[in-house]
Amino acid sequence: MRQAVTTMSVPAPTVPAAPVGPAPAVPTGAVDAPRAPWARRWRTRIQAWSARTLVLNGAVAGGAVAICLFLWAVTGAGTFWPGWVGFGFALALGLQLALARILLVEDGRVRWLLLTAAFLAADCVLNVALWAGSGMGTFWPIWIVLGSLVWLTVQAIVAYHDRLLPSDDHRGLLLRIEQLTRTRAGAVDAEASELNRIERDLHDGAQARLVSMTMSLGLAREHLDDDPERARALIDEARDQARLAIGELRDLARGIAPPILLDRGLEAAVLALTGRGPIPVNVHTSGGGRATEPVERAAYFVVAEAVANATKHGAPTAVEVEVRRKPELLVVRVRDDGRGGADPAGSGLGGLRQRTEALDGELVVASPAGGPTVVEARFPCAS
Amino acid sequence: MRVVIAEDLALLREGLQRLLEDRGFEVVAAVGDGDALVRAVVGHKPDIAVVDVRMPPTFRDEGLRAALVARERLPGLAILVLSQYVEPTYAAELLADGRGGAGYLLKERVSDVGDFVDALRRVAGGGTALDPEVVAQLVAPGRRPDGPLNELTPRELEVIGLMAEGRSNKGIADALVVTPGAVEKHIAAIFGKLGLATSPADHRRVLAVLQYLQDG
Repeated sequence: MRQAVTTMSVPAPTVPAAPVGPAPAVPTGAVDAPRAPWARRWRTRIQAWSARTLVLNGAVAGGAVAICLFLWAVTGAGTFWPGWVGFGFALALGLQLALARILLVEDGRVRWLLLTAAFLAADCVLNVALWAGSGMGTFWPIWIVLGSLVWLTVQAIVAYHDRLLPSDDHRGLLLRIEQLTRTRAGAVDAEASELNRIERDLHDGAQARLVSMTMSLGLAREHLDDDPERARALIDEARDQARLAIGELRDLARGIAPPILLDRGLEAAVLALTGRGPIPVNVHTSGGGRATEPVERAAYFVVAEAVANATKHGAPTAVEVEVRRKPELLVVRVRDDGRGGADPAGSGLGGLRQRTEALDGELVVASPAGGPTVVEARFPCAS
Repeated sequence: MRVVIAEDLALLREGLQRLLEDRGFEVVAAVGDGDALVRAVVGHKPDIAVVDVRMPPTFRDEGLRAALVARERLPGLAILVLSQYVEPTYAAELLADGRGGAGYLLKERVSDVGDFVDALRRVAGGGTALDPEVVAQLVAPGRRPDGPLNELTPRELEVIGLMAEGRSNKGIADALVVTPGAVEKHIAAIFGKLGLATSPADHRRVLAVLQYLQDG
């Protein structure tokens, strides 16, 4: 770059289009590096130098043009040749002005593109002027203008190829964004339908029973004196409604998370779960520690749903449940020797997949016709 | 009879205290967490502790753990656990040490005051009271497709369920509206089919049945 500064910005009135040659290779990596101390010094030097020389060069050019005008006038004022001298100086000064500005541009890639563009533009202006001065005719400079545009385009593509074609890191990020968008939508769907179900259960269940209870109690109060028998029956009725409401609320709470899961964690909850069904379930656990509550809950529901599916549809003779903990991973795996053919996209397994993926986990279902069925969920755990 | 209550929700703690005092029990302490329960039991030496499962500070199963600690400090302490949910695992732990009466009931059973007071007295006397919901989970039909439970008649299943709840022969007879003699016959048949040795003591009998049901 130092080289470019010294050779290209010296005003050269007679050969203004000299730089139109092979374009400099674009060392994007080098020019993008953070500015070193030498770069700051260089910058200051350019600023000081360009201010001084621009004034000086302007004065020299003005003087030269004035002398030429004088000579032209005293030699009979024929063809107006000092116009060419003035044009040459103007082009050189314009180029110098542009360079003084361009060399201060921070972004290395932009700087190189602007440098190239400046020299190509000077070249085009020179050729258009030659065409105009040589009696016009066919507008041949169009080819130079088009060629310059192609040149600039190619250089821009080379300089910015990494933005046009994403790198591996880039592609990884794009995939991750896509995955997060999908799983977030799944999590929102799952949560919305879960909340809807809870709202409906509360509305039609416990809430309705409590309303009915207040009616029975209100009526019982009216009849306390005139019909104690009726009042007693109404109070009994109210008590029954209250008990049913309590039972429904308990079932609802258990559906959100079984108490033993919150009390004692995944292993205890899985052991309690598997002690109840009609088919023997063997539980193997390994590793220690607890994951976050959402992860434990999702893992629990994977096991609960897979065991329920197995006993409902698969007619197995045995079910194996495995809970494996590593510092960075929680794996639950349910294997049954039933008849297989479970639909991984069905509502049950689909819901489990949403729950699992919402926690950045992965659900793998293998259920060939004839069995066995294996449902495995893996959850990453922050360590 | 002297009672200690451990329940963190003031509404329920006061309701329970009022109900027990109304029925002639002496509530010597009503506390709100596990540590206070242990202190109250050691200080007052009650006949029975009525304990909630979930209490501060972690709201997990500290009530149950504290009750078991309290029983170590005061051997023979009767414990009645009242909870909003039933978990057979907890019932098993409560009954496991077999030293002193033990009960595990849903809180809403209190609404049937007569039954509740009976269960309380039974546990205080060294007996057992197990919530029908726990028992139902243990004797669920089809739990083991080819186990001996399936050889029991429906009537015998009812009897084993009531036995598991901790009821006496007379209690079972009243519940089923049959004579105590008929109950004894059913029990003999059940023990024969399951291959259990009969035991005269109600409490031991309940434990044998529960052990059998849990091992399935």
